[in-house]
Amino acid sequence: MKRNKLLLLCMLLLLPLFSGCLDAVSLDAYGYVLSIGVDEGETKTFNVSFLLQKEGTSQESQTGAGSYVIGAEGNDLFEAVRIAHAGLPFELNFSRVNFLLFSDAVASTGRMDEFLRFSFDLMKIRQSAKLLVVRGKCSDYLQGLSSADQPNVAKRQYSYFRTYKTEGIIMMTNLAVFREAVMSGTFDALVPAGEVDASIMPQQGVNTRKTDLPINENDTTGGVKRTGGLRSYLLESALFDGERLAGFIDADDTEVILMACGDFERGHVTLQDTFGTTGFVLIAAGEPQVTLTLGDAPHASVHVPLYAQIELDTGNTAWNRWESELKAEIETHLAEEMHRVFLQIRELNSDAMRFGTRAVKQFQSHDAWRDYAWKQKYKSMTADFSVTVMLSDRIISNRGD
Amino acid sequence: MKLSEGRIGNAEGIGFLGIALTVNGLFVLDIAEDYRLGNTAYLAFPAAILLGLAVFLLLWGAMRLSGKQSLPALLDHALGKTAGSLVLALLIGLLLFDAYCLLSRFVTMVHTLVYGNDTVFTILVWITGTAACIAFLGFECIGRLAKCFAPVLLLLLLCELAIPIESYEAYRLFPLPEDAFSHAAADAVRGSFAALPPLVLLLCFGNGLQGLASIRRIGVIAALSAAALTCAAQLCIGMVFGADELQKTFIPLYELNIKMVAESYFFRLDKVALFLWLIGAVITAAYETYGAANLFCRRFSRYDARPPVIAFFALLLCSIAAEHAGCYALLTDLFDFVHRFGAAVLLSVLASAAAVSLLRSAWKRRKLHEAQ
Repeated sequence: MKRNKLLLLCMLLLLPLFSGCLDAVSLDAYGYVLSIGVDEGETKTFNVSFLLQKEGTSQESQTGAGSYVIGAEGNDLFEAVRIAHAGLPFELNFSRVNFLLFSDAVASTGRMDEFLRFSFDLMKIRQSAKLLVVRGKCSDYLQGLSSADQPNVAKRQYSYFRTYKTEGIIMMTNLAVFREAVMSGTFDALVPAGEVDASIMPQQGVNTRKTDLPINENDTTGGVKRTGGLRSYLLESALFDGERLAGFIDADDTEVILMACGDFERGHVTLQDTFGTTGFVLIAAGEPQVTLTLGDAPHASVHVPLYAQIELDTGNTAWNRWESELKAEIETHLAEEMHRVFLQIRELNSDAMRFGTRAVKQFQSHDAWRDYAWKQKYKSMTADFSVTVMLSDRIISNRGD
Repeated sequence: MKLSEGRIGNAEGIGFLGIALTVNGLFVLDIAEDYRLGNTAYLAFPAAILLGLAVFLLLWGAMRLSGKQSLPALLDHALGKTAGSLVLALLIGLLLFDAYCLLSRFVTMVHTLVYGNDTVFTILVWITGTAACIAFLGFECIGRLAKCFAPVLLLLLLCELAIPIESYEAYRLFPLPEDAFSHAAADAVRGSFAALPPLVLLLCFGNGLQGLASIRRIGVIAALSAAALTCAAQLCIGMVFGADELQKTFIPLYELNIKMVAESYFFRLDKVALFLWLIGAVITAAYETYGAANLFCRRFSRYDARPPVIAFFALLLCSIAAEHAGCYALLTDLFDFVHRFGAAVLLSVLASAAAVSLLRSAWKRRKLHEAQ
C-alpha cells in the first residue's frame, strides 16, 4: 500500500514535465491571417491578399497599426501561400481566418467555388468563416480595414453581426452555407457586399503605400457622405445564381428579402405622408407562412407577420391614425416592396428568398427533385405577398407628452 | 483464472455499454455510402441498436430458460462445441473489427484536425497504448472509468446538439428517400455489426455484473438510452447537412456548428469535444478488446486475459499503422465485406442459437413434466 502511494506521488510529481503538447510552436513563429481576399491576377489566375493580425510583442506592433496586408499571385491558394512564404520570416497560420473576400470580378465568373475546393482541414480554415463580395479590389478593401484605431480587426465581425441582427440591412453568410447552396441547388446564397469609400482619410498609423487609393472627395458610402471610421464599409448584398454572382441589391432590398425568407429579426421602415414622417421599428413576429404550388410555373403565397414599434412621429398623429390608416398603409407598402424585390431577383435567376427549400419538401426522391429542375422552373415562378403588422408598443421620440 | 473481471454494479455497466453503443452509433456507423439515396440515418442507426437489443433479449431469455450462465455455455448448448467455437470466433473478430474502426477513425480525426504536422504513428501509439492499459487492468477498471465519464459525455452530447440549434433546418432532411422505411431497415441490419457485438458481449459477464437479472437491466437501459441519443444526434446532423453534403463530410458531429452565423465562446470548443469523445472511444475500444480476450480465454482454457489483451492491441496497432502506411485498399475491402455481411451472419447465427436453445429447453421441460 505504502509502495503504491509512493509510486502515485512520483507519477504526480512527474506530471508537470508532460505539460507540453505535441508539435508545440512558439507564438511568434506564426503570422495569423484574419481575412483572405481573392482578386483576379495579372500573371496567375488569382491575386490573393492576406490581412494579418500583429501580435503584441512583434516589431510591427510598435508602429501602432493593428493589422497589415500582404499578398501574392497564384493559380490556387496553396501556390499563393508558397509565394507569400518566400518573403516572410514566419509561417502563415490560417486557424483564425474569419472572413473570405472575393472581388466582384472573380465572383461573377463563377470561380469562387473553384477557389474554395481546397482542403479546409489541411489549411485549418473553418468552413464557418464568413463570406464577403467586394465591389472593386479585395486588396483595397483589406487596406481600408487596417487601422490604428482598430487594433483588433478580428472584432469587426461583431459590428457586422450587429448590422445583420439589429438593423437587418445585410445578410451574413458563411462558407458552409454558400457551398450548400451551390451543391444542393435548393436556394441561392445572399452574401454581404462591401466597398471602399475613398473620401475617408486613411487612419493615422496605417502603413500607407503607393498602391493605396488616393483621397477622392466625391466618393460616398452607398450614395451618402460620411466622415470618419474605416474606408471599407458593408452596406449592400450580392445575389448569387448558383456559384456565379448575379447582381447586387441595396440595404433596403436586403431587408425585404430577409423578411420574406424568415431570416429577419428587426429593422426599420419610414413612411412619409401629408401628416409628416413616421418611423417604425419592425420586429419579426414568427416564421413567414408560405404556400407553394408546384408545376411548370410554380406559385407561392407568402404571408409575413411582423410587430411594429413607432420610433418617430413628426406629425404627432401616428398613434391615433394607426388602426384607420397607418396599419393598412405599412402592410401594403411592405407587400408591394416584397413583390418588387421578388421580381427583381427572379430576373437575375437568384432564389435568394429560398422558395426551393419549401419546394424540396414536396418530393419523394432525389431523382424526382433533380428531374424537376427547380432553377429552370423558378424563372417562370409567380408569387403574391401579404403582411400583417401588429403594433406592439410606441416609442415616440418627439411627442413630448 | 485471472480474467480480471472483478465486480461492478448497474451504474458502471450502463456507463460502459451506453458509451460503447453511442460512440459506435455516432462514429462507426456513420458511413458515406449510407447517404447515397438520402438521409435515413436517424431511423437506421437507432434501429440497428434496437435490433441488437432484440437479439440480446432473445439470447438472455434462452440463457435463463436453459440455466446457462454465460454466452459460450449457451452456444455450446444450442450448437455444439465446434459450431459454438466458430460463432465465438466470429464474435471475437467483430469485436476487434469494431475496436479497429473506432480507433482508426479517431487516429485520423486527431491527426487531421489537431496534430497535422505530427506522424500518424505517434498519435496511434498513445491512443492505442491508453486503451491497452485500461483493457489490461480489466473489466472492473473499464466499468469504473465509464461510470466517471458517462455523465460527462452525456452532457457533452447534449451541449453539442443544443449549441447550433439556430442552424437546424428541416428542409435538409428532404427529399426523403424512396421507400424510406425499407431503406432504413436494410441499413439497420447492416449497421448492427457495430451495435450487436458490444451488447451480446455483456452476456459473457454474468459474474462481473452480479447475475443475469442485472445484465438484462443494464442491456435494456443502455440500449434504449443509446438509441434515443443516436436518433437525436443523427436527426440534428440531418438538419444541418443535406444527404449530398453528408456523403462528403468526415464525422459530421464534429462540424455540427459550421453553419452557425453567430459565433460564440462555445463555437471553438470543438477540439475539447473531440478529446472527450476520444476518451469515450478509448473506453469502448478497451471494453471490446478486453471482451474479445475474455472470450478467447474462456474458449481455449487460458487462465490469464492479459496476454491476449496485449496481443489483440498489437494486432490493432499493426493494422491501423498498415492502413495509414498505404495498405488502405485491403482494409477498405475488408471493411466493406464486414459491413455488408458481418452483421447479417452474426444476427442469423445468434438468433438461430437462441431459438434452438429455447426449443431444446422447452422440450426438456416438457419431457421432465411428462416424467413427473
